[in-house]
Amino acid sequence: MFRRYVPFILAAVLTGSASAKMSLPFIENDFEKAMAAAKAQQRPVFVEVWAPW
Amino acid sequence: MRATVLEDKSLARHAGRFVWLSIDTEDEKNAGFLEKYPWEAVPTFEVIDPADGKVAYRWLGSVSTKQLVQRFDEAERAVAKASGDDATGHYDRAVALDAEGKAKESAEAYEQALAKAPKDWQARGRASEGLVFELSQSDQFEACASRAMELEPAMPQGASRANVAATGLDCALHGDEKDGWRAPAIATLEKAVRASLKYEGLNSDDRAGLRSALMDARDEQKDEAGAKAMALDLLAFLEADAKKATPEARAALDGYRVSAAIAAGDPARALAPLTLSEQQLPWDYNPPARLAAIYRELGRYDDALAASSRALEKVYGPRKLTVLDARATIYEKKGDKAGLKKTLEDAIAYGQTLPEPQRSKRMMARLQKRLDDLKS
Repeated sequence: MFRRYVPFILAAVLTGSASAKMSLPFIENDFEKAMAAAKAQQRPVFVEVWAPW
Repeated sequence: MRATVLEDKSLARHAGRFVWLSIDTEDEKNAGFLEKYPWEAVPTFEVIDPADGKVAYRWLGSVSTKQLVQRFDEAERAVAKASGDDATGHYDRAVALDAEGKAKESAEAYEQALAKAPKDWQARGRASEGLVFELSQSDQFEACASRAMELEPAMPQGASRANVAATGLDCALHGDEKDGWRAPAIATLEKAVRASLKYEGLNSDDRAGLRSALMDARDEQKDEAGAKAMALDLLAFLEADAKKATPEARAALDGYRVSAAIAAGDPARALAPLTLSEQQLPWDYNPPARLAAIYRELGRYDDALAASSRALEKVYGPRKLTVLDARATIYEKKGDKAGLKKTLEDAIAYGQTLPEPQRSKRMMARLQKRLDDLKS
């Protein structure tokens, strides 16, 4: 029953929903495309690592 | 957080600051990314500097919209590699050390930041939160609990303060029962977590998470009545919250609903809300997977298997192993050895088709052991 407390991870984990309507232009599941865009635009890549749990 | 913060329209004005990438850990396309950038928990947020491909900034767990925007600023400073001997310089170094996975060194840098911070330092709450988290991550449980007790009372009421209390409580529970510091720390921090339930500005995830932490704390201390009371409190909170939430936001808390209903000794109480989630989110494997767990608890094994089958139609990637592992348990409880054996064999065969970074060694070993135990 016991688990290491990571702030509100469990709740966050459970918010993975395929129906999310994101307000930011996320590239989905294509690291190479994101890195190529980041190099071209000289901007860092912001990555959201999530799971549909 | 996907169902709430990342849909906040006010974020659109930050679109030009980064290139945005979302990585589904279960999708096979991401095996290469996950090998290069291993993850411990979801959600994890990382900012990668395209110049060297390294993670310059990262954090685990959900945050509010306001906190997210603050983290955009911090991430940009981390990429610019700002440094200095003032509080902000040490703070940025702590953040960078965390991104490198150096929890102990990160905690030291947070301590230096707090030591040099002016009284009205804007990042004090976040630095306190970071310090306690890194102490926990580096297994310095006594220091974690004791710093949480020192810092928490002076923090403004809000999510950071609640986090410090809950992380500190978890550290205290990790202490050895023979240690003299443990019991008073648990008492103080449980009180602090309880008080934080009244803070304004916390989201429903936070509020459910805090109640769940209190439930675990009672359970960990073998206080059956206390754990049950907290479970009932969590259920009542979830039921009241469900009345005003969108289907996605409500279903996002279903995991708490399952653990609370089971801990309260009343698994049937989760049936109606989970059935509603399955109707409202027909593409999501989670509601039927959770229903299977509840039916199993109720001894309704055929209903549990039917719900598990519906989950298996939708689930993909590594999580399919978890659903199959749970299905094997239903067969086990039902006393169906043939069904149990076949499910374990199917799970192992499926696991072997997954790319290496997405194949959990622990889960594969667990499935194999269950099969070996069955044969012997």
